[in-house]
Amino acid sequence: MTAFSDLDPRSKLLLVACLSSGAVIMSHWAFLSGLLAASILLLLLFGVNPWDMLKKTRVLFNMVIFIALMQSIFVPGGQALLTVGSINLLTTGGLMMAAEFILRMSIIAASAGILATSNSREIIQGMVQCKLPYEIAFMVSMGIRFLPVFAGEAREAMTAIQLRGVNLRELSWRQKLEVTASLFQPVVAGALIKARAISMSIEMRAFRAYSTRSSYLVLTLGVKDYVLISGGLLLMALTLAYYFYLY
Amino acid sequence: MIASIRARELSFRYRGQDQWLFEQISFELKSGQISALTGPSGSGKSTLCYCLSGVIPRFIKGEFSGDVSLEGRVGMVFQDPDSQLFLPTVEDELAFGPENLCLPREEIGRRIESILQLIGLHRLRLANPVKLSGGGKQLVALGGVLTLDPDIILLDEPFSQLDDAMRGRIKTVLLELKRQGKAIVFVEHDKSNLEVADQIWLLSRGGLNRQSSPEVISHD
Amino acid sequence: MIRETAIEASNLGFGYDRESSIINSLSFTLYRGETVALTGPNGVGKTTLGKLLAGILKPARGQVLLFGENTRDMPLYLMGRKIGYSFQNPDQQLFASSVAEEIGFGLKYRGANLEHISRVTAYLLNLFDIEHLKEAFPLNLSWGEKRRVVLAACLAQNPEYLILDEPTTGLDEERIKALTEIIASLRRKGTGILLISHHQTFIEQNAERILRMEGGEIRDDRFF
Repeated sequence: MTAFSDLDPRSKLLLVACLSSGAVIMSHWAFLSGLLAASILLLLLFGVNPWDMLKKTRVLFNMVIFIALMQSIFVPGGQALLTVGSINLLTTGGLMMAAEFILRMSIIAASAGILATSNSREIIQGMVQCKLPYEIAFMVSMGIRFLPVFAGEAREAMTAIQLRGVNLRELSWRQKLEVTASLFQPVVAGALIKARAISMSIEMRAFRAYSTRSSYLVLTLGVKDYVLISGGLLLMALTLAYYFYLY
Repeated sequence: MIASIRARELSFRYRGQDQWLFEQISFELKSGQISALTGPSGSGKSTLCYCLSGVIPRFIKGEFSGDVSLEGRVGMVFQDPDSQLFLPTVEDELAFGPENLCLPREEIGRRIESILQLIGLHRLRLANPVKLSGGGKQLVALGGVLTLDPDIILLDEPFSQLDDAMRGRIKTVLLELKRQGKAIVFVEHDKSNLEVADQIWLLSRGGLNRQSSPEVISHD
Repeated sequence: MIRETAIEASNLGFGYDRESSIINSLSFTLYRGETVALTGPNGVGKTTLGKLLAGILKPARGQVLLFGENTRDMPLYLMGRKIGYSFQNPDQQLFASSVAEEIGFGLKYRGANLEHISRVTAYLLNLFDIEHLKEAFPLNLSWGEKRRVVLAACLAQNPEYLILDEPTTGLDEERIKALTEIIASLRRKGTGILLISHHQTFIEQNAERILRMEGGEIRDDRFF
């Protein structure tokens, strides 16, 4: 918990919108590095340790690096650094592209990390108070809830299989394929059954009201929010102006 | 007393089943009474609750006939607590129902407060329901229905994961709700939990029968 | 009588996050051929302890020895060959497309021959009174039926130790009586059993020893 972790989710949404649209619009490593530095600063401000986050998303991060390197090989440009025969394997242009790709993905990951400091209820309420219809906000949040349900379903199945004494590594390729294929239907069906159960429960609790629905949680913007929002917007506008007109 | 649930000639079978799960059952349950529904596993107790709450035929496909008339709003707590909790805090779970009823914020706050007091979850108001124990989840699921202030309350094995202290507490809650004039139906296997019931119904082999008084059953 | 040690927990500690600890330095021994009930108020960490003993969770402090081996170094599948574990929510461990397949799954992928698998499956279908459901999709069954399928699938592994988390939920009296008989016959065979339960009469009928947890500790360890 830091002084800023209780920031209004709307401020977080806005800052994240600035960061991620900046990452898409601008394509120069210096600007992207600046954006990444800003998002890491925000993460720290909200009490998230970026290093822990990196450790948790290691697999994803490795994948991003791998894709970036592949890209740099297939989209060459600039000076050749490493050639095999007549093919340029590593070029300065390619490397630069890879670096920009990695920076962009890191900014987006950091943005997700910023949003994750509010719970889904707060994010929905933030969207609703920004005049987004409740049913859309609710659907978004249920979508977000169901990704982990799917992942959890698959993980539970893997645990359950091993608890039946089956060593997955020991299986032949054919058996591995067989097990994976046989899991597919129960996992999907299981998630659907769960989804139906949840929608039953939601409906049994009078979920119909939509726009006239009241809300117990009410968000209010504080001084910190106004400071951070106006600061963020101003900084973003200046950076974009510099990027387009002066640079 | 007025009848608050009236079921006439209810029959149901799931798709792909040749036999009726229950056939042509009729009964009336009055407000201000607690009814227990017992019977062997798989005899259709949960399914009967689905029929009373309208989950059947709305969500579950099968062959359904007969009719159910309800006097007032119905609330149902399902057997599996995991599939009833979908919000990030206990408070949000309790607020969800009354928010859908478009109640003013102050009223929602009052209800959350009193229900938390009733089921003894004050300490866990801001906890994430997913991280609670099985019994804790059951209580949150119950709370999420009680804040709707339903006139008819259906509970599918509400005690199954509760410890003795909580069991006692929830029984007291049921008696209090009964005093407020609500109609309560709960599915139960364990005889020791039937003591709060005014009447006991046995669902078995497709038929529903009213049993002798709970005293007789619990002392045999 | 000298009893063979099944599970030995020493100074066991665990918490789901850094700040809070749900289990504080527990030490106890569970034996083969012994049925133990683990009780205590809601949310005290009974399920967590069960998962630690079965190696599904790894201890933060201290250790668990399962038949002399440290669970920290044991892969999950080896634990699964020694321990049958039935979760509180049966949905979590059903993954096959029919009941019969669910029960035979472990044996099939451990290389048992078909004849053996079908013999064991038939025996367990009969034991748990679920023959009529053998072609059904497990996740569509009622809670009590799912519970029995999971128990059957656990027993198919012929485990040396069984951990059952709230095994009576969804079971009627007849079925609880049947489960009591099954537990008694397993005990005679020398299987150790840990029952996590709130069901007083069930505990009294089955357990010879009760461990009561409170505040992350074992408050009471007594034999009948």
